[in-house]
Amino acid sequence: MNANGSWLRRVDETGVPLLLARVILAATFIYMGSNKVGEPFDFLKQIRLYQMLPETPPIYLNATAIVLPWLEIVAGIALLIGLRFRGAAAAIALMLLVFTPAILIRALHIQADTGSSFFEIVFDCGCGTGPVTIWIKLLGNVGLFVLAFVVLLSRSRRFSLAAWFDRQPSIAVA
Amino acid sequence: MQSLKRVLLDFGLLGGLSIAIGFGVNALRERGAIKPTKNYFEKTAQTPPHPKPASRSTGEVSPPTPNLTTTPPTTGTTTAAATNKHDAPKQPEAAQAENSKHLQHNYQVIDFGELVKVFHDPATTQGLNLFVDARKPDLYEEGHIPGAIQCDPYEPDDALNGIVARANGVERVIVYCGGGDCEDSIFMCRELLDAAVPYDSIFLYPGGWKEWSANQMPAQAGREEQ
Repeated sequence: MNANGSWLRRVDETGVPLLLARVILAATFIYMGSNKVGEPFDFLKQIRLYQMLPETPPIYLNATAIVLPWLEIVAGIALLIGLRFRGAAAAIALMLLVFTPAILIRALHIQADTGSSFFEIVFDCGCGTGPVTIWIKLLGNVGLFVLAFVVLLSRSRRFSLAAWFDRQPSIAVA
Repeated sequence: MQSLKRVLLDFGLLGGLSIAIGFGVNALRERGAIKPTKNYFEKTAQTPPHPKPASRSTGEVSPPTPNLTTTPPTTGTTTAAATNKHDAPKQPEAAQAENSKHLQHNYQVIDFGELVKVFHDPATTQGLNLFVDARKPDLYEEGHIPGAIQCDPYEPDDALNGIVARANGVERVIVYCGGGDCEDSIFMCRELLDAAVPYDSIFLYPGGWKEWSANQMPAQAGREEQ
């Protein structure tokens, strides 16, 4: 157990797993957020379909459509440059935690309505990638969730702007 | 504990930054700006249906009247998918499943057969029947019902003003979008009603562009001269 722990720690200290996780998450969320920012009403329509927020008053739904794509982009940039990146990973983990079950529930409803195989269900989940095969999307989200936890649990700060700030006298930024 | 506090602090900081950027960019953008307090998904008009002007109901304008499928404004609730069940092209199963949940409205409906009659009606060439395409501009420019005006129900503004100006002199304003699980034509009907277009003049074509194009009906690409 200790041997495993020290081996994992040594790998973590190289900073490579953290860097990989940060880059993959950043690329994914900056891409998806940018697509949503470009078509705000498409995203608004999609998040409405999940029925997680009330339509009246409309401020909840509209504000979510306005802010969420930018949260993805801001979190993605924070991960990419390595500043406040654990907070960014927490934001991404939270988004995944909310939307992944929502996608699953919507897919199960469609499956119940159509009687088709779960593995054949394709729809636009509002994720910024257009219509997708849902079981693949769900698997992808689980993978992203694991990567967000790698960032959250890693003790390394290598290859990050935060580490660079740490080395500067009289500057202390997480 | 200290680490968790820092993560939460960073999370709050990034969240606050996203709220500021999101609302800031939304306020500055010319197209695609979401009005925070507007209910874009209200299907019935916020104002009561406007009565048809007396001059038109007494027959001053009298194009041939097709047998339209209508639903009373106060009592009827029509499921669009069921209205044109026989004419509609086959839709993906996921779309069909979501139809029944979202495509309910209380507007008058025109089916494919009647729309073809109206389209070939001399009154249409005289401009007495107005077609409104509620799809996005790029889809409209790829192909639309000849003579249709494009108007996005989420950003109606200038196009809606033009339609309202013309709607007072026409017999019917026929609204369509993509068909299938598309709801945008329903929201466009509400925008028209809110803009004082008489309820009796507004007709929803649920089959939409999908059904029209699947039946090899005339189509026009690019923008119309309006």
